[in-house]
Parts: sequence; structure tokens; C-alpha cells
Amino acid sequence: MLDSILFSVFPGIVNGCVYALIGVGFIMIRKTSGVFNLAQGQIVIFGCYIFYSFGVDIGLPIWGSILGSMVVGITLGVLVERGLMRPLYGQPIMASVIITLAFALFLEGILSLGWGNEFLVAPRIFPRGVAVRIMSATISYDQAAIIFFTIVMFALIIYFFRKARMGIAMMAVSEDQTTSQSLGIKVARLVAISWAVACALGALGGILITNISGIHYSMTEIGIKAIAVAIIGGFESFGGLLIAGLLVGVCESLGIAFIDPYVAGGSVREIVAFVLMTIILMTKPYGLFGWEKIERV
Amino acid sequence: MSLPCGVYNETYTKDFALARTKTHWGLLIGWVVLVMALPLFIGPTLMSWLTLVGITAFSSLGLHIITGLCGQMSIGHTAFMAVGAFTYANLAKYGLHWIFAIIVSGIYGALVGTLFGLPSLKVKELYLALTTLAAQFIIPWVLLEYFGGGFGVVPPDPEIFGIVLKKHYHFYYLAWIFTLVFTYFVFNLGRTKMGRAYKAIRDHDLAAEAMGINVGLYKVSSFTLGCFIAGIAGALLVIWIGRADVEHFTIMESIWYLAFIIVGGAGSVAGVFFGVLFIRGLWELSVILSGVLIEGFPALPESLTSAVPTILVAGVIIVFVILEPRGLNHRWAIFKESYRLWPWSYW
Repeated sequence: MLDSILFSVFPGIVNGCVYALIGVGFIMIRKTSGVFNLAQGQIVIFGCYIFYSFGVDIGLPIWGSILGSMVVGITLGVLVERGLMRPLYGQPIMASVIITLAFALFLEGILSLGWGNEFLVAPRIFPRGVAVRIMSATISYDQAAIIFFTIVMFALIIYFFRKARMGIAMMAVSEDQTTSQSLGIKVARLVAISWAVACALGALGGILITNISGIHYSMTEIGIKAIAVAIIGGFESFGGLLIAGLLVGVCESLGIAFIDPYVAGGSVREIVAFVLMTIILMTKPYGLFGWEKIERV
Repeated sequence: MSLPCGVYNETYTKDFALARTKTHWGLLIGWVVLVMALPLFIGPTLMSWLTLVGITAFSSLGLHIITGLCGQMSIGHTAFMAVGAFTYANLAKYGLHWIFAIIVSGIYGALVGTLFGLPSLKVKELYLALTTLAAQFIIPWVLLEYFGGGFGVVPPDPEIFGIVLKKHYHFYYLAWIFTLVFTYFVFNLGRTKMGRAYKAIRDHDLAAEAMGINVGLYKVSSFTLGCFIAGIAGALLVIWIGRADVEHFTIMESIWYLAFIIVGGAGSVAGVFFGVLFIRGLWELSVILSGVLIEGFPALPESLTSAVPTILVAGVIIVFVILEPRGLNHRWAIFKESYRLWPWSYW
């Protein structure tokens, strides 16, 4: 029993880490500019395809292609902010959300046009093989790398938002845009930076996870799951985000192990995150670790 | 509504009338006759495209109530259509008369819509949009698992007065009669107490509450009404296609429905029709165009026929939101106004 639980929990932890990693970008955009970036998944998979193209079509070494795809991600983020978000300053927030939806559709078209319909296998970053073995449950090198990388990344992010000048400025912007602008913070630049970081981090998380599973443009769903994770965690604490990610990931794999045998065709994995999100939204709208803002209606 | 020179409203009845001048009546009757007589003159391809437009416009009327009138963004509209579709297909398969099945599918759509609209009591705007997004994933999954979505459910052909409905023009008339009748209802809804409450909530929910409008009740009821229409639209889609399949109800389709509303101009019934005709037309044209391109240049990838229309439609939405947030209907209003004032129009 314990054996099978462990066996299914480890992949869940890995998935949860990736959700949290992608969710960071989402939260940064949400906090600096108030926009829900619903194109996150498409941006992530776009980064993965760029990685594939750099690695296979051009033949760069792996570290080169990771760096290259992150640079492309940053460029994409800045372009989106300049081209699509900045004209909408002062418009209702709905307009910018619809823009991100349309951008998602746009990228979806670009992806299927550029890379076709097949499952692509990117060059492997980490060697095959088992890193850790606990009873019959195993963690492979790439899974261990994802977990390690996520922990490092989150430590950096939490440090950034607690100590670094720019991080504190971002927190201020998320609290009140107008006030922070009048106190001399360059809000527009911070928004551009948060888009760039979101796209780069998203690409990185996507590269790590597609290294295990292969790339297909239908995997854009991962971005929406990351949004669900961000909602569950609440928008204020990054540690909470990581916990929410792990929660969703583990629930998913436990669902696969223990509920799926009783389900006819598909897998509960596809909906666990959304069911959890709906429950959280109905009971605790500001997430598990978010600050409650008093607002009626 | 601005009236031609020299025409004034003298009574309340006149002020409330939908069609006021003889020209209005002429145009109204002309349009209805045109829609009804069109199948006599056009081929099956165009007719089935127009059937699709009719069903889409009908479903968009539901989203128009939720998003256009009440201002609650719903990214899960096709999921509610899927509820109606599968209800219809399963009920008709087990022998319920198809007209009752359509009504029941509308009611089921309304029930599920109410369920997913309930978070609007607690959360606002984008969070609410996310619960509808969750609906978009949860509902098709449940349908797929428990209501036979995997292989598709095939209902029997509907039959009325001994005629089996399976010709192109049958579906055309079915879709457009529903669309015309509900257009009338929805247009009037915007002018009732309910519709004005919706608009007040859309424009400023705090002010609306201060005026004594029960904001929560109206928000949820907008979901009930809109999803009732969505359910019926799903049933119509199943009658037309011949089987219920979750493939027709993806999140991309839901984004499309939002696009119809936005491009047409949120908050106006005419805008719904402009948006549907414009985007469906654009899609059809770009499919034809990319087909020609592929024939001319066989080196181009296969996926061109699906990718180019997607990119084009996405681009159109982006352009419209940035440059003309009030949509095609606003342009139409400007055109009407300058026509009315011609030759001394000033814009």
C-alpha cells in the first residue's frame, strides 16, 4: 500500500513543481499589471518548440538551446507587453484578458503551422537512469533535477521579492499602481520585466517537463493548470504557490492510482486541478495562502 | 434611436415600439422574408454554412446575455452547449419526442449554467471567468466518461407531421426560426427591468447594488438564461450534425464565441449577428484561400488550412480590441447616422 502510494506520489511532486514554476510567471504578471495571462500555456509550449528547433534543427548544444529559448521567451514577453498590453492601458481589464485569449489562439495557429501535428522528442538534458530509489518507487535523474531546480528557483524568487530592490518595487506596484508610480517606480518597465520573466520561466519549466514527456501543441493545457494552481495558492505568497502546486500534482497522481480504475475511459488527471480550483474559489476566493481583501459584491 | 427628420414620438406606445416608421416595417419584413426565402435560391454548401451561422448566432445570443448585457465573462460557453447537446442526444435516443428533448436540454443547460454561475455570488470578474474556464474542462470530461461522449451519441432523425428532418433546408429553417424568435426575446430582454438591471451591473456593480438591485441574484440569473439558450443551441447543433461529440465543444470554440461578441460589439443584439457573420465568413474565406495556396504551392505544410484561419481570426480579435473596442456595431451606427444626416453629415 505504502509502496504504491510512494510510487504514484513522486511523479506528482515533479508535475507539481512544474506547475508552480509556470505559475510564478502568471502571478508576476497578475500582480504588476492586473492581467490574467491566459496564453501562458501557449507561451510555454512555444518555448519548448524553440528549444527543439535550436537543439535538433540548428544543432546547438543543450545549454545553448536552453539559453536561446529563454532569450526568445524574454523577447516574446517584451513584445507582447509593448504591442498588445500597452495600447490597453486605461481600458477595462476584461479587454486585456480577451487579448491574451486571442494571443493564445494566435500562438496555437503558429505552433501547428510551424511544427505540425506530431509528437516531437527534444534532445535529452539529463541522462536516463535512477537517481533515488525508495522501496520500489524510483526518481529518475530528470525528475530529481526538476525538483532540485524548482527548490533553487523558489529560494531565489522568495529572496528576490523580500530583499531585492526590484522585487520590493514589484510588490509595491501590485499593492497600488498609481501610488507607486507617483513615488518614482517605473511601472511600465516593471510590467515589461514581469512579462519577460514570466515567458522565460514558463519556457524553462516547459522544457524541463517536455524533456520527460515529449512536445505536442495539445500540451498547452499545462498553462491553464498552472493558473489553477496559482488561484489555489493565492496570489501573495510564493511558498504557498509551491505548496499548492505540490498539492495539485500529488492529488493528480493519487487520482490516477486510486480513482482511475473506477473511471470508464479517460483520466481524472485532466480535471483534478480545475475541481480543486472551483472548490477553493467557492469557499476561499483568495486562495489558501492569499490575503483576504475586504470587498463586497 | 434616432428617427428621420420630422418624425416624433407622440405617445408612450410609439416611444416603445420596435419598428416605428414605414421604412422600419419594410426593412423588418424584408429581412424576415429574405431569410425565409433564401433556401429557394442557394446551393447546399452555402445553405449549410448559413445553418451554422444561424446556430452560432443563436448560441451567441445566450453569451450576449451573460457577457454583453450582464458583463460576466464566460469562457465556458460551449461547455454549456455540450450539456444541451448530450441531453438531447441521449433523451432522443431513448425515445423522447424531439421537441420535448430540445426543451429539456435547454433546462439542463440552464441548471448546469446556474451551478457554475453560483461562484458569481462570491467572486468577481476574472475569478468568475476562471470558474467558467473550469467548467470548460470539467463538463466535457464528465460527458465523455458518463454520457457516451467517446464514440459520440447518435440520436434518431427528428420528425414533424410525418416529415423526417434530414434535408439541408429543414435544418436551415429549424435553426433560423429559433434564431429569429429568440432574437426578438433577447432584444426585448434588454428593455425590461431585468435587462436594465443587467446593464447597471455591467456598468458599475457597486452603484447597482446601492440602487437596490439584487446583484447576486441577477448575476446568477444571467447565467441561467444564457445557458438555457446555450443548451438549446447545443441540441440544434446535434440535430444538424447528427451526433453529439465532445470534439465540437472545445475551449477554442468558447474563445470564438467570445470573439463573436467582442468583434460585433458587446451589448448589442445586432452586434451578435455582425460578429458571427464577419468571423464565420472570414474563416470560410481563409479556408478557401489556404486551400488554393496549398494547391498552388504543394511545398507548404498540410496544417496550413487549419492554422491560417486560426491566426487570422486571432489577429482580427486583437485588432478589434485595440482599435475598435465598441465593435462592428459602432461602425454600423456611425454609418447609419451619417446616412441619416446626408448630405450634411460631419463624420
